[in-house]
Amino acid sequence: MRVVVCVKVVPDTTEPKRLGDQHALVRSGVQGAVNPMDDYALEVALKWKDAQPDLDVVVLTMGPDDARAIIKKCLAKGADRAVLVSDAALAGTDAIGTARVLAAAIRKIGDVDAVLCGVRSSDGESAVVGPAVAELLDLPQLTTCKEADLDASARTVTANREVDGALEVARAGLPALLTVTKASFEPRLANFKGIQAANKKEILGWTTADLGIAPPARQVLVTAAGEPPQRPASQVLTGTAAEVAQKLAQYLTEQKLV
Amino acid sequence: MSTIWTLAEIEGGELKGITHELLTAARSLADASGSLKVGIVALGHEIGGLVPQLGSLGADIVALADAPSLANAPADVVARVVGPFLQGQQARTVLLGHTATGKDIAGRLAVRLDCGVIADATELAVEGGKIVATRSIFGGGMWSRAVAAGNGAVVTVRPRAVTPAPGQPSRSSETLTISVADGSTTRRVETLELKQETSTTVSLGDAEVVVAGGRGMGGADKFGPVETLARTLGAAVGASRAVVDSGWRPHKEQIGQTGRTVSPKLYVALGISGAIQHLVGMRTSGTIIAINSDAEAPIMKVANVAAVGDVHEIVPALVAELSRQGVGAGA
Repeated sequence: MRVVVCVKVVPDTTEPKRLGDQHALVRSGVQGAVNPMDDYALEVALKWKDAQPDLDVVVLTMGPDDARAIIKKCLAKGADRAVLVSDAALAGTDAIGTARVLAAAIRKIGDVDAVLCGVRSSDGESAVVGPAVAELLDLPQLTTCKEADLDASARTVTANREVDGALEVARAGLPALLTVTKASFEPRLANFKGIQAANKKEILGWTTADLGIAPPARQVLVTAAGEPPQRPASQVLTGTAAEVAQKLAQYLTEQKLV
Repeated sequence: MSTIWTLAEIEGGELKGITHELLTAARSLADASGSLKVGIVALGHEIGGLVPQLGSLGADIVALADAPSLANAPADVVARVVGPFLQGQQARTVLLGHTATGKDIAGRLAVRLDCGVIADATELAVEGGKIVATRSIFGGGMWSRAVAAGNGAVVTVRPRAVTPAPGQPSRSSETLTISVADGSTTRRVETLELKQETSTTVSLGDAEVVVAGGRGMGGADKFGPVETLARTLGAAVGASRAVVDSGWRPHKEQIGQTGRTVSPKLYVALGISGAIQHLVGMRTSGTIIAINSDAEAPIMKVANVAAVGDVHEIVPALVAELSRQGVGAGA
């Protein structure tokens, strides 16, 4: 069986983010990291592989060539191989365009039983790439999964989904696409043996020509960007607890907030 | 673009609040343009009774996909039924909620319509016949304006970004029927169980008021003031990352970069210092009130009202004061 985990390299969330040309995120010179939600998706696949060692776990990413170093960390954790779709023509590709490229790569990888994605990226935050890939590949989807169990013999996947404050248990037949949210477990860290093994694992580099597709046309253009407006200066309340409480209650009433 | 389309979210036979908001947003865009119409697709079983309400809330066209097999349809089925219909209508703008349901469908529908997606919009406009949306990016740290440049866009609109307008019962609408092709409703996903979480009475994402607690509360057993004030205000309970990481509160209550982004009418921060990772998850709230013993804490700078003092003294006094005014009585 084969599982593809879609991974995005994002600016490390502790670094301040900047916008450059065409209001696109400046990525060069910014420390990269695996998108945190994708790390959970990879962990779900690796848990499956723990139980079923012959499972072929393929990491798929679209990004610049320097994403290789980050992808290698996924291989060190236990993924079998990786595909990096890298093409100068893909710079600035929007969410649906990205989904088109990922879907084409998944087709080329072939015989894929499950696709796992993080529910959203920490930099784009649209949460639509996973479902768009599912539509392009005509797969059912289970989104915002906290945990997922693979039943290889029944060819199903059963997931605990977090949906608007409720927990849903849902099952889909394979092949299927899952998006994974912050799970109840922590993603594993690579050990020394894994890091050594990763040096021998393959990272295939594909271009849009290799996928037999044209770079997707941009459907969404960012025309402006900026800092949020400053809020008016705080009104500071001091005094005894009773005085402060009384002033707060008055404010809430006057502003019709209660 | 001649019609702005939306999709109704229906639960238990009733329209969810986001549907009012989307119709209000679509109606104001259409009215501002003078030429656009508002269409809404409603999909489910025995939902014909909703047509007058959808019309009164602003829809010119109500398109019904009504079949037993469409009750609680999963996203792939929705896309298969709604996609071809909207393609036939040459839809160029589709507004969905940035909700669990909306996010599940947005990407699939955009693929069907060969258009883009603009996610989590907080403001909408039509310029030169194209939809333009303002969204907050990097967790609210910046905003950007995106325009549908190609074949249009599916736009997901942040819940509560739009204040729903009251309905006008005299408004009428045209009703269309969406044909449901054989095989298009085949289920590939099965719901086995649904457990409503009961620990919070109000869910964080939908809440108009959020009361959140941080490390300044002092311990897992010292969250009483957060819960009491939340009950009084009819609010959802939130938490900072520090207290979730410490195991004082469950992750589902976490607000901020690695938790939820909320944008309630009123946000009350109790004992939260306001690390940037927390601020990005709540800075678009309407009014922010912070109670903290440290007047210099970052949260006090973004708050509309910063109350300096001990939360364990101020909150009980505030609850008492509010209940004297009849707020939260019976809660």
